Amino acid sequence: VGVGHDRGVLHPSASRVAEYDAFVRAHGGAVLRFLRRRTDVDTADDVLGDTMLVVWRRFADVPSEPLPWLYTTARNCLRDAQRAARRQQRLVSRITAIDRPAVSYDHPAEHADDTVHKALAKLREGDAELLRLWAWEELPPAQIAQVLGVSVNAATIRLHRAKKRLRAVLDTTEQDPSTTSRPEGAV
Amino acid sequence: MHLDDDDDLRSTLRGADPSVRQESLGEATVRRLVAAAERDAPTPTSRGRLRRPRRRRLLLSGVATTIAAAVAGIALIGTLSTPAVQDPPPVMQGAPQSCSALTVDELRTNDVAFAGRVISVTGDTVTFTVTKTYAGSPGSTVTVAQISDDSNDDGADLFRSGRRYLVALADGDVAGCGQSGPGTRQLERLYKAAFTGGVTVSPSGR
Repeated sequence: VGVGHDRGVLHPSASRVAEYDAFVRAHGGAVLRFLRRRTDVDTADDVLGDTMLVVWRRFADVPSEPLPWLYTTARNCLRDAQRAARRQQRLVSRITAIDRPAVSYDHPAEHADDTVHKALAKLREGDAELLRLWAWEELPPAQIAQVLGVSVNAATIRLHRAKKRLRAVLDTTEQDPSTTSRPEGAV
Repeated sequence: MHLDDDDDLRSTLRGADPSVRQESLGEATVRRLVAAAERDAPTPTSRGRLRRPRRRRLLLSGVATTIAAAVAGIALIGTLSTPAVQDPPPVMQGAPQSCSALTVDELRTNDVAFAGRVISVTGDTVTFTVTKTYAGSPGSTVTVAQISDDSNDDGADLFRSGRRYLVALADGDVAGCGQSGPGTRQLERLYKAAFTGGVTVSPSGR
C-alpha cells in the first residue's frame, strides 16, 4: 500500500504520493471537464476533490483504463453532493420559509439558453447522459456501458435511440422554436 | 437542423460542450488535491484493512435540532460543504466508518421506522412496500429520496430494487450513518430494542 510508520502514526510513502500526483495530473483534467459539463463551477471543483479522494483511498482498485471508473465515481460523488444540497435546501426552507434560490444545482446555468442544451433537456435524462458520454467524453459504447452499469448491447441500442430522439428534437426546434413537446417515443 | 449522420450530430453536440476542451488542472489544484490526500492518510483496522476518515453524513431531526440549525445559520452550510478529516471512533461492525457507534437512543430520535422491500427505484426516488412498522405510521408503501451507501467509499446508492431494508426517517428524510440499511439481524435487533418490537404488516416478512 505504501504507508510509512512514524511514532505510531501512519503516513503515505513518498512513492505512493508521487504515483498519486502523476495520476491526478494525467486524469484530473478529464474528471474536471466531466463535472463542469454537468454542474456549476463551484460544485464541480468540490466534487473533483471528493472524487480524487476516492481514487486515493482505492488506488489499488483503479483499473488500468481508468476513465470509465473515474466517470462512474464522479457521477456518484456528484449525486451525493446534489442530494446533500437538496437536503440542506429543504432544511433551510423549513427554518426560514424562504423560496428556493434560482441557481440550479444540477446543470451548468451559463449554458441554459443554448439550443443544444435545451434539446438535451427535453430528452429523458438517461438519453441525455448517453449522448453526453458519447459526444463530450468521447467514449465508445463499451465504455459508456461501463459507466452506466449496463450491457454493451443495451448501451449501443439506447445510444442509437437517443441519437434519433435528439435529431427529432433539433429538427422540431428548427421548424418551430417555440415548441416544447417531446419527440415521439420519448417518455 | 438536419443531422443526417453521427458525425454531424456529434459535431453539433461538441459545439455545445460547456467545458473547455483543453482545460487541464492548474498547478495549484493539483497541489490542493495531493495535499488533501496526504491529510487523508489511512489508519489500520484490527482486521488489517485500512480504515479511513470519511465525511460524516449530517442527520438533522426534531424541533431541537431545527432550532439549533437555525441559530447556526450559514455556519451549518459551511460544515456540509467541507470534508471533515477526523479520526473515527470505534463503530458497530458493518456500520459506516465515519459515524459514531449506532445506539438505540439515536434510533429513537427518528419519527418513522419500518422494515420494507424496495419495489421500485426511479431516478432518485425509491418506493418501499412496508412489511413491518417499528415507529410512526408509514402506511403500506413509502416513497423516499435515494441516499448514498455510507459503507461504500465510492458513494454508490444504498437502496437497490428487490432488496429488504430497515429504514428510519426523520422529518421525511432517510436517516443515514447506518441507521438505515440492509435488513441484517444485527440492525433488526437494534430496531427491536429501540422501538419495542414493531408490528408485522406482511406475515411473510419478505
